[in-house]
Amino acid sequence: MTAPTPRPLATSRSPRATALLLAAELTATGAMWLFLVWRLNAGSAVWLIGHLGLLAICWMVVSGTANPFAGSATASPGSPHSSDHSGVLLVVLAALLLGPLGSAMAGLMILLRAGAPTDSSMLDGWYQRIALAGDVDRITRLATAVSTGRSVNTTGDPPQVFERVIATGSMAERQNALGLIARRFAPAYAPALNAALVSPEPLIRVQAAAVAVKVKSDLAQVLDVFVQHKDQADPLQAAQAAAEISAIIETGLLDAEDAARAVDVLDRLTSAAIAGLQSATPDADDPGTVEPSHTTTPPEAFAALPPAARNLIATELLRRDQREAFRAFQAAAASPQRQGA
Amino acid sequence: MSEPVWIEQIPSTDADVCILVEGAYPYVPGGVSGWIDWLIRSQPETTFSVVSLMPRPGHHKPRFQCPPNVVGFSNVYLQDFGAKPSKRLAVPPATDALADALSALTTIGGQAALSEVLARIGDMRERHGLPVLFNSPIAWRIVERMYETDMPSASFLHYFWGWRALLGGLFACLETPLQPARIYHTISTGYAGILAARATLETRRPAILTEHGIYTNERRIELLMADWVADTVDKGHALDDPRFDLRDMWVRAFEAYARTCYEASAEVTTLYGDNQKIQQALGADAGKLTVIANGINLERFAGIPKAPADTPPSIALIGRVVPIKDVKTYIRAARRLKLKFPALKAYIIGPTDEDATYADECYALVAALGLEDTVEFTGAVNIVDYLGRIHVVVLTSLSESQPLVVLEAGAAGLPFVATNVGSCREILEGRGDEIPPLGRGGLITNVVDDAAIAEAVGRLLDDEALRHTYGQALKARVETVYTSPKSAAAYRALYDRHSLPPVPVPLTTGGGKIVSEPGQHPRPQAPIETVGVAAIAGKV
Repeated sequence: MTAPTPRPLATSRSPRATALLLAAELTATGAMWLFLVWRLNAGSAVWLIGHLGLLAICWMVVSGTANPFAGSATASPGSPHSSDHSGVLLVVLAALLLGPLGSAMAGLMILLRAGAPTDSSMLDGWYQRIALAGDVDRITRLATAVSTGRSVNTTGDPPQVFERVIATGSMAERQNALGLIARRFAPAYAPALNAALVSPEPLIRVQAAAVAVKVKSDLAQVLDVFVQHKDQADPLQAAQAAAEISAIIETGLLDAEDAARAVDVLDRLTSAAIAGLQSATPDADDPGTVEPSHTTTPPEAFAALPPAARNLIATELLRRDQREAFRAFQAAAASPQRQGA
Repeated sequence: MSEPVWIEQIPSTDADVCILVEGAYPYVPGGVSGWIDWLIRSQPETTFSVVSLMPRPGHHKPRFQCPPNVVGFSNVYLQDFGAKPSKRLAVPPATDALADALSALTTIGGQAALSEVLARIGDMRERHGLPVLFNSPIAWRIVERMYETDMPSASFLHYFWGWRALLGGLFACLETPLQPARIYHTISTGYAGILAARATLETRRPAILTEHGIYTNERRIELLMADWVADTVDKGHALDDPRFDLRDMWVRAFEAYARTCYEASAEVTTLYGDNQKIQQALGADAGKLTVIANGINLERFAGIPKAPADTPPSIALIGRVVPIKDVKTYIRAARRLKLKFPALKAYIIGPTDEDATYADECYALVAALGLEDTVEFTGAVNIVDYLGRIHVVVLTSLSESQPLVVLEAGAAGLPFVATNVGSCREILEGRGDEIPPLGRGGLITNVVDDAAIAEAVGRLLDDEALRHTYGQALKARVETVYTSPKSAAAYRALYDRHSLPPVPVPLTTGGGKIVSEPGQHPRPQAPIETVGVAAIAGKV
């Protein structure tokens, strides 16, 4: 989206200039009054002065010198408010009703209002912003860009399957996909990476090789963390960690030594999970078996785990031929939707 | 051998060819640096000047003796650009136009964009100098405008620092005095390519580009993987989000610089045909593209004896200990091989000081795998002294162009196992149109596959006859295609094609200052380090 270019806001005539204009008008009126007093009688003079003052005020208001009610700053020709004549009418009405004295008071009021710090351009800009009706200023555009321009675009197409991108995508898409795999690796991306490593396109092969080296190094560090927690006693956490490490092993991206370490950790974590499962019997012959925790966990608690973790436990129970425990686990944990229903 | 001496504050003189090289010769050992040294020495009748683009000043130690036909040398520091901040500099009205021109150069590129930048920057450069301008309110106005134009969604803070790094390198290339020469020869696109493009615009002399690896692609791979580049726009897993972030800014800039360099260059060469497709995809005109293969000095490797078959099996990786060589995969392959060949000796022949962290990781891996008695790091040595003890040479690189080490091993009659990168397959198996077919000179494996590499090497270690057959085939191919005289003649012809008559009035005066050409303004000069051949000849 391209934001409209900000247009300069209307500028107001300064109070000083307004005051000078009024002073000039009053001086001219005063000179006229002196002339009339000198040449005519006093009654005619008062009548003339009153109506000349009225005319002067009307001229000033219409020409935009001052508008005490509607905001003088935007009353210049061409401005959005130049069609607002309510102020003019009110001044004329006041002068007609109050006569010469009213003219003088209206003039005084204009002076006072003109000196007040009223900047209607701010109001104008504010109205336009809240109504989304016109120009957007630079600060607003920046704020919008910061607040919404950096978040995920949820209106676009869903993410593509990386394996398909590596097979059939454009060069740019394949390179971007490999960049994402490098920076946000998940075991599910391994097939795409392995496919890229044997791509017929040299550019992709080279990039995939660099990505594979980085991913292997990152996975080795992740493995180190798992190794530190291989004696996890909480069966739920052990099951979840076992599922994660199992996925890492399945990527085939671990070096031989790391893969051996990972299998050892997986065995220990799986055994810990089984040992804590209420319905299961710890396997005393399994070298990976750990001591069960003093409190066991019911199979229903495993329902909250991701499917991969539940499947891992179920498979392990079958492998250990604990069919009773397997059936209980499946009934209680393997179908969380049914549980919820 | 005396210590190489390059850095002297001595005026340069006119050269036939000015070589522009980024991050390599004469400080960084490796294939490209070695090739430049060979190129200069292979053209003794041609005089050269060298401009070495490095990140920042430091105690860079030259790794090569200065050839006698080098008449000038200077350093340009890309990430050390600028001066003390100057807040008092007024922002002239033309600043926005300069920002727009810089946007065009760093996002689209091309000679017209570079020309526009040079024209727009001219007055400001004359008045204040680019280093001052780069740290003034003018620069702030430029960065604000470029941000709003190019990357309004991203974090301004990150953009600012990225912009300084990107534009600092660009301004350094625009500010540095040009070495006077008849041809400007850049070894890569990137900043050296921008400098070559500027040279053609300002001197009207031709530029040529001889790419080994494809610089833009190497930078792209680095940037797409880099953890140090912040992602400030969350694009999720979208591959086609049009919002530009810092990573896109860098990639686009290098692509734009490549376009500019390709357009400015009168001829663009590479080492093997497959690279031409990439060059074309990046904007090079197919009509400018040619191939000149690397060549080696056969005599140097002619008398090397074969390692006796009855000695313990030995293999070698010859190259710098850096991540791109994937030395760790070689070490893991050695571990697999040791199970079958307990007496195996696995040499790693090359300097270890370029990436000390990676070298330490390799040492640690050797210790972790219990290979201290098997793997030997030799450091930088003369490989001729080692080739006679080796049965199979191995290359596990993630990326290469036309590795000299394959040619050198081939010249010594050694079989090779290499990953499927660059032109390794072409060298080991021959081109499809090879007449007569010379046969296979080694085995190709996938990258990052220590099991496959170990299997291939094991096959050759097991079979002396196969080693001999492959070694002889590779030797024949190297002697036929990849010889130093052939390659040198091709470069001689390249220079001859683009060489213009000498300029009657030299473009520079003493100290490397540029004097005005008709219609051009003289510019303030940034300090540079120059060296003359007279001083070198006296010291080396």
